[in-house]
Amino acid sequence: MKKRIQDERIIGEARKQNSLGFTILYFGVLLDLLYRQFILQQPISSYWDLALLFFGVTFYLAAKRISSGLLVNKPNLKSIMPPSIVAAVVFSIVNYWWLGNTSPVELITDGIVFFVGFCATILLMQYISSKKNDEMLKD
Amino acid sequence: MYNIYYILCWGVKWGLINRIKLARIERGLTQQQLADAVGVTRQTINLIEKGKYNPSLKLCLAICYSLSRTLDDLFWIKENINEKADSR
Repeated sequence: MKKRIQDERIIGEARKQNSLGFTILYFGVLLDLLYRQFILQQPISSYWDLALLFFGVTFYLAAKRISSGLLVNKPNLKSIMPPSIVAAVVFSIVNYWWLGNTSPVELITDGIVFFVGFCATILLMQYISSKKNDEMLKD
Repeated sequence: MYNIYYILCWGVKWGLINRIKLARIERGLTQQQLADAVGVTRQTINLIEKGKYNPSLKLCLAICYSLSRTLDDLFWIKENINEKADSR
């Protein structure tokens, strides 16, 4: 029996194409979810399976990146402030325009809670990832 | 220190240069024979010889063993990849 060729170039190229295909599918599903939620204003019960799949894959990717130690930045509150502020502002805009929350006190409270939660999540991810990186350096 | 190194190297095109074709012809092998010996397709050998594909270290070593050469003989890195390979 002839030995099967394991050509690294073919394997690498196939992986690259699979990765591109996955990226297109991932962002396609994201756009579909946003369209259904904010343009068609469908209830979540009509697309919960798609949402579950999307968030499941997202959490899986995040968990794998953390467990593999791919977040190489040391936990640093200063560096995560700008993205957290942007995320909190976007959250507040969505809260005001689409969810119809017009109470200023609630808007500010929700924004602050989201901001703190967002910062805490990223810090936790960076902390676990840096722990993993430190473990790799041990024998 | 690394930052200074990257700034100094900014804009310089690094490329992996090889002398596989010459070594292969000296050994009297065809691309297909070399490809069979190292377990890849002929297209991969062709692309490596033309400098259009950077092989992994494992494949580099397999090629070296097949051609009875050292890694240093067959592969090196050059700053300006547009220069000819045989000007080493």
